[in-house]
Amino acid sequence: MVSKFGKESPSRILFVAVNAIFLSLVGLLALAPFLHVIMASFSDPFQLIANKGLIWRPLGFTTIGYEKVFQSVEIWRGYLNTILYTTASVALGSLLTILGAYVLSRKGLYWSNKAMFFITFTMIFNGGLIPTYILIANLGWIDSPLAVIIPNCMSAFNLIILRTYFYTIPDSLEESANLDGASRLQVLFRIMVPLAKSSIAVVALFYTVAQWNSYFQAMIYLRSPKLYTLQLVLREILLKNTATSVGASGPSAFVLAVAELIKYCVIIVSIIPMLAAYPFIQRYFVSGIMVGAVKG
Amino acid sequence: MNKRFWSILAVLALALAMLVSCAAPTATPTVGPTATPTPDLQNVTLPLVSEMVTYKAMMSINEAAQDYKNSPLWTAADGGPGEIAKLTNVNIAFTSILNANYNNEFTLMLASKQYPDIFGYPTGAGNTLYPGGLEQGVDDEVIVDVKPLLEANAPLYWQMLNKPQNLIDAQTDKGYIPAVYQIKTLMNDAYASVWGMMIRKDWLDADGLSVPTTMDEWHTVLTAFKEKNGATFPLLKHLGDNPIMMQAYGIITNPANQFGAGNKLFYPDKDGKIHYGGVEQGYADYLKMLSQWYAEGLYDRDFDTRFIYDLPGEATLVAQGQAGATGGFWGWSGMFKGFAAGVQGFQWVAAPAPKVNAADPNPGQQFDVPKYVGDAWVITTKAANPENLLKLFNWMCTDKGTLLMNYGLENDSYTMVGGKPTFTDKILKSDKGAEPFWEIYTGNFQPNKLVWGEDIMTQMNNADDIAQQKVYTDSISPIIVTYTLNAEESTQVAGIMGDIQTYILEQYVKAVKDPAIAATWMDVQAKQIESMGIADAIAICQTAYDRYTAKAKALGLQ
Amino acid sequence: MTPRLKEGKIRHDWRRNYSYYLILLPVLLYYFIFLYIPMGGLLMAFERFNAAKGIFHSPWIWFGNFATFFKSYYFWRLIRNTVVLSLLGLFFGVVSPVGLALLLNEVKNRYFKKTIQTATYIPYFISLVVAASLIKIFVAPEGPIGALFNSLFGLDKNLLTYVDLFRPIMVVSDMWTMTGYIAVIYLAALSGIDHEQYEAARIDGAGHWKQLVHITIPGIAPTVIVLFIMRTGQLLNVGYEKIILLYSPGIYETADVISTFVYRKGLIELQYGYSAAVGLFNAVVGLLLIIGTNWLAKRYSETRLF
Repeated sequence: MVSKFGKESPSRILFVAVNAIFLSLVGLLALAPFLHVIMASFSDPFQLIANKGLIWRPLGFTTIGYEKVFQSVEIWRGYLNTILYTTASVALGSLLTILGAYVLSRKGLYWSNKAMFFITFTMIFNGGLIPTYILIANLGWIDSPLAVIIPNCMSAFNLIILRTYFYTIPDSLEESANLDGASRLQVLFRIMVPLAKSSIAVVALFYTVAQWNSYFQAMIYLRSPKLYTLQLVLREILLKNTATSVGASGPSAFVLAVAELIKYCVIIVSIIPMLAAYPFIQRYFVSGIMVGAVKG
Repeated sequence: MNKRFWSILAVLALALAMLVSCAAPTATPTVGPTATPTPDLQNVTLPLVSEMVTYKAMMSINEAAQDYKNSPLWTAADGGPGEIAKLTNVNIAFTSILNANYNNEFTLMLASKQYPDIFGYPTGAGNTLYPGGLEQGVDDEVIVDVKPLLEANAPLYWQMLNKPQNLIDAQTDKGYIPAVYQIKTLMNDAYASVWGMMIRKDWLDADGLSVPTTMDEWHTVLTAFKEKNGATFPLLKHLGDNPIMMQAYGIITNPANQFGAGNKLFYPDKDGKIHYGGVEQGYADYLKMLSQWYAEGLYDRDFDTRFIYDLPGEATLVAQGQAGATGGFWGWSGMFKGFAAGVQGFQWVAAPAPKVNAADPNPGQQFDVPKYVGDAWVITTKAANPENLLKLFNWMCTDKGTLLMNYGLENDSYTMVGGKPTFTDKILKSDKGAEPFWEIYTGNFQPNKLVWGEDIMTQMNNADDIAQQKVYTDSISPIIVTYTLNAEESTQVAGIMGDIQTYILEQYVKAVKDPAIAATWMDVQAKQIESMGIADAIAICQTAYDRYTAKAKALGLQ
Repeated sequence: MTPRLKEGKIRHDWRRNYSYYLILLPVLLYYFIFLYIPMGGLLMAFERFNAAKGIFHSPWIWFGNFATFFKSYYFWRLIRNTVVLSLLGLFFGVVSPVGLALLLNEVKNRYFKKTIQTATYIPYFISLVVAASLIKIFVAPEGPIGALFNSLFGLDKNLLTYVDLFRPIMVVSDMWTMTGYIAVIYLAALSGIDHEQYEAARIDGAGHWKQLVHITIPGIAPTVIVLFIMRTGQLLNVGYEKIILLYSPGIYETADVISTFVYRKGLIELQYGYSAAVGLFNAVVGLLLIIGTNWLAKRYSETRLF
C-alpha cells in the first residue's frame, strides 16, 4: 500500500483517505437501522416500548420474542409457503425472461421493436385491481397458489437487463452453432444461457426479492390460512390493530408488550434467507447486470 | 335518573328525537324485554335436513386467529364439520376475511359475480358496502328477500324479529327484509355508551381536585397535571375520530373523520334538522379551545400522527407519567392499569362526558348502529334452498340453540352452576382476553346474540369496568344516526364530499396547531366548505332522514 | 417503402425468423393474458362504476370523471406535489447511485469495496412495510433522527408532521433503500469500460479528473440514459404504498400525490370509476413522457430504449 501511495500525488492520497472515511460512514448509516432492529429484538418488551432512541445494545435481555415466533405455526407455514411460491415463480419468470430477452436481442427481426414496445407499454398502463381480479376469478385461481405464482412473475425491467447482456455475446458464436445444425432452442440453452449465467443469476435474485417481499397478490387472492405467505403473516403482525376488543376486557398488558417485541423478531426472521442467499449471488453482480441501449 | 327513564328516552330518540317535549315521555307498548317465545316453537326436529348440505359463507374477522377453523362449534378436531353441522346437517364453510380488507374483497367478489351463498354484512355498513344498499341488492337479484320465507321456515326467529323496534332497521323502504339480522339483548335494555374520558385519579387526589365535568375544570386539571405532576402533555389524543369533547359543543359526528363516508358525517338535531359539523359555530368553538390547550402544552404533541389504536404506546405514556388523561373504549382501562402495574398508587377512572357549562344538559352522543339489531347475514341468490339456512338460524333461536351459540359446549367453555351457564376459565382467563376468545369460540354467525346482555356482561367483565361504562352512559343522551342513503343519494354525496373531506382533515390539524386559524374558522374555512357545496349534501341527507322519520312513524314508533 | 415492398419484407422476415417468433410467443401470451386483458378495466374511467352491474353494464358518463378531477379544488396541488416528488426522486435516484458507484470504483482494496457494497445493498432486501415502520421509529421525537433535529433546530415534534420535511424524508429513505441496488448496475457498467482506454489516457498524461470526464462518464452514459428513460415513464407514478404508510392529513400540503388520491378514492371511498379516471390520466402523461424522453435521447445521444 505504502509503495503504491508513493507514486500518487498528495491530493490523490487525500482523496483516497477522505473517500474511505466517507464510504465507511455511508456503510454504517445504511446498517444502523438493522442494528437497531436486531438489538430491539432481544430487548425486554416493556423497556422496548418505553425506549424511543436508537438501540445499540439490548435493553435487558430476553429471547421470548424469538421463542414466540418459532412456536408460531402461522410463521413456519408462511415460511414454507413463501419458499415454495417464490421458487416456482422465480423459475417460471426467469425462463420467460430468458426466452424474451434472447429473441429481442437478435438483430434483423422485423417485429422486434414493436414487441419491445408491447412489453414496455405495460410498465405504464394497467387495468387495475378489479379487472385483474375478475380475470383470476375466471381462471379459477382464487384461493390457489397459482394466483400468487404466475401473474407478476416477470418484469420488463429485468428483461431489459438480460437483453442487454445477450447483446454483448458475439453473433459469431450463434452463427457457428447454426451451421452445425443446432435448433434455436438448443443454441439458446447450450450456448447463450451458460454464457449469460451471471446475468441470469442477478435477474433471478431480483425476482426472488420482489416475490419474497410481495404481499398484495397473496392478500387479495389467498383465502385459506394454510396457504398464507410469510409476508402476509408478517404484515398482520406489524400492522395489527391491537385493540381487537372494543367492549369487554382485552388481552393483558404483557401479551400486548410481547406483541410489540415480536414485530422486531419477525423483521429479522423474514430477511435472514435473503441475506443468506446474497453472498452466493454477489460474485455475479459486476459481470451480470447490464442495462444499456439498443445499438443501431 | 333511573334506567327506565333512559330506556324510554332512547326509544324516543330512535323515533327521531324530534319531539320537543322530551321531558314528558309516555311509555310505548312496544318497549320491553324480548317476549318469551311460546313453547311449541321451541320444538324443532333435528337434523334439519336429512342429508348434509354445505353452504359457502364469507365473514369479516378482527384477526386471523378468529377464523372459525379454530372453533369446535364449526370445525371438528379432525378438520371436518363441527358440532353444529353434526346436529343440524347444515354445514357452513367459512371464508374469513380481515376487517381491513373486507370492503375491498366484497366489491371484488361482487364485480366478478363470485359471491358466496351467504355473507356477513357488518352493522352500520349501510349502503357503503353494497352499492345502493341491501334493498338495491334485492332489486339487482343478488340478494334474497327473506321476508316471505320467514314465517314458514323460521317462525321462532320471526316472532322475535317482528316488532317495530327491530323492523325500523331491518326492513327496507320497499318492505324487504334483505338479511337475517342479529337481535341483540341489551343490559338494562339501554343504548350503552362505550367510550369516554379516562383520567389519573391519584393525581387528582394529590392535587386536591375532583374528577372534572366542565371544560373549565378540565383546563384546571390538565394545567395542574402539567405543573404539579410533571406531565409533558397531560391530555393524550382522545380516541381518534370519536367526538368525545366535540359533542359538548353540540357537534355530534366528527366532520374530520378519516373513515367517514356517506351520511356518517351528518347528524340530526332535536328538531330533526340535519347538520354538518364543519360549518357550525360549535365546531369553531371546540377548535378554539383545543388550539389553546395545544399552545399551552396541555394537549398531545403528536395528536396528528398518533395512530388511533397504538394502545401499548399510549398506555406506556400514561404509565411513564407523561400523560394523565385520554379517551378510550371502556374495556381498555384494564390494559392501562396493567402497563402501570409498577406505578405506586396508580388509579385510573372514567370521567363523565365533559360539558361546556355545568348547567348544560347532557351532551348528545352519536349511535350509528341500530339499537336492537346487529350484524346482518345476507343470503344471496346463489344459495340453493335458502330455506335450509333460515331453518338453521331459527334453530339457533331455540333455548338449546341459544345456549350453544352463546355459551359454547358444556364442560368445555361453560358449566352449569345452580342451573345457570357459567363460563369456565378457558374463556375467562384466556390470554387473548375473554371477549376476543369468546368471539373465536362461539362467534358472530347467529341471530340471537346475548353478549351485551346482563348475564354475559357481568360474567366477562369486572364490576369496575361495568361501573365505568355506567359513568359514560349516564352522562350523555343518545342521538341516533342509523338512517341510510339510497344509491343515487350516496353517489351525489360522495361526489360533493370528495374535496371537502380532504380539506377539513387538513384544516382541522392546522387549526389545532395554530390558534389564529382556529379563531377565524367561521370566516375562512366554514365559508370555503360552503362554497364547495356542503348545503347540497346537507339537503340530500335531510331528504334521507325525513324518509327514515316517516318510516318510524308508519311503524308506530313515536 | 411501398405497401407491397413492406408486405414482402414481412413475409421474408417470417420465413427467415419464424423460429424466433415461436420462442417469443409464450412471453407475448403472458403479457397479453395477464396485462392486456385486464386493460378492459380502463373503461371504468368513463363510467359511474357499480360493482353489482359490472364493467360492461355500469352507466356511462364519458368524460364526467375526468371533468370532476380537473375541476377538483386539489387538482393543481396534486400535480405539483407529484411532479416535485418525482423530479426529486429522478435527480437523487440518478445522482446518488452514480456517485456511490464512482467513489467505489476509486477504491483499490477489494475487501473494503465489497464490504461497503454489501452494506449499502442490504436495505434493498427489506419490504416496504418494514422500511416504513423503521422510518417512523427513527423520526419520532425521541428517535435518533428526531432527537438530533430537536437539538439542532428545535423541532420538538414528530418530523413527519412538518410540511417541509416530508419530501426530504421521502428522498433520504428512498436513497437508503435503493442507492446500493442501483449503484451495482452502474458498477457493472463501469467495469465494462475498456481498460486500454485508461492506459492510453494515462500515457497521454491525463489525470484522474480528465479520465473521469472523458472516459468514465461517457462509458456509463448509455446506462444512465436508459435508466433515466424508464424513470421518466414512472414520473407521475410515485409509489403510493410508502406514502400511505407515512403521511397524515396535516401534511397533505406536500404529501398528497395523484396515486395516494387514487388510492383514497378507490379503496377507501369506493369511487372506482373516478379512481380509474385519475389513474388513466396519470398513465397517459407517463406514456407521453417516456416517448418524449426516448425521442430526445435518440436524437441527441443515439441511445434509446425502443
